[in-house]
Amino acid sequence: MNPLNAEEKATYEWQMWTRGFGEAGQVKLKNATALVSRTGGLGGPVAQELAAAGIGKLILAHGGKVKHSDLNRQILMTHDWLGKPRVECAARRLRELNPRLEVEAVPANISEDNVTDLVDRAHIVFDCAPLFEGRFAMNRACVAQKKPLIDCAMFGLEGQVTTILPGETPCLQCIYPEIPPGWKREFPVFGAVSCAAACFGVMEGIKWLSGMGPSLAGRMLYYDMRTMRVRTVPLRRRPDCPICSAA
Amino acid sequence: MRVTVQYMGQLGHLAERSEESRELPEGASLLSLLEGLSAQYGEAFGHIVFTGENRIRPSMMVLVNDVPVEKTTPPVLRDGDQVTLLAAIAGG
Ligand SMILES: [Zn+2]
Repeated sequence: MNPLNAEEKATYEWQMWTRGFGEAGQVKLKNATALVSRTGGLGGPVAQELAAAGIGKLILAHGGKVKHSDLNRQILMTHDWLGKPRVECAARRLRELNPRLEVEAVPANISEDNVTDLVDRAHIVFDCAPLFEGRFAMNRACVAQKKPLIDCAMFGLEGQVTTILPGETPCLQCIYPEIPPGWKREFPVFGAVSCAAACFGVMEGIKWLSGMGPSLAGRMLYYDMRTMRVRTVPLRRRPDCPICSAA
Repeated sequence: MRVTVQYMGQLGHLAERSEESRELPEGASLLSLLEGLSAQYGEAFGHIVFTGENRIRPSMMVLVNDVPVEKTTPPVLRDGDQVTLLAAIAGG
């Protein structure tokens, strides 16, 4: 593993004071690669917090161009980048924040065509996709390759996060055996709500990468910012799950 | 008897509330509660909760007093129960 240089020691000094993390955790983070699927309201703050915390490499997958309706929540997008590729804007902003970060910007959303290769090149995957088709594709690839999947989702003032460890925890299709009906690509969203899910997810990922251990393995955290109710619910593996029952 | 129902995901959006208290006949089942809610809150609500065969959808998470219920054998409810309906979400 590549050790920390003097600049990194200075930059991450305060977070290395965290109990159980230390310089050893920071070194593991520096040598890690994360795939972030989409860099919008959820994936944007996921990528930003990982970059700020000193992850070594991010692979960002997000198609499309910046629109006005992105700017209420997609904090890596900027007004001057309207009409230009989203993933380029995200990569540019992350490099401004952390010039040591290696960023690979893939100008496409996750699909069956690219998911196997993208997951193969990462140690951990952050699922921030707005459609179940993309989420299921990442789940299948992560189970097949035994890579951890941090699944973050939101709707309105609510969000949820779970950590999927193939072979140990329920997979996404244990939780949702089918594509749930009625889900639409456009949904009510405040940036602060998706950002909260992102931050819970990032800390799960950092804990797994640094050896502190995830806390949401086999549990789903739910929060509702309308009522400010937070709860975690145990999840069960489905013995007949077509995706993970053999894993 | 009275039970509390909490809605999460699109169900709260469709029911236009996060939570409510419902009066039910003694010994009412979870299934009858969900049928009543679906009748009141419309087709889209019912479609999220139930399959075409009137079974609770596998993608729905239902908790009674914070414990997930076995959807194939939904329980009988008791006075004071808190039912939470979590509809799947994927927003990013
Ligand atoms: Zn599974």
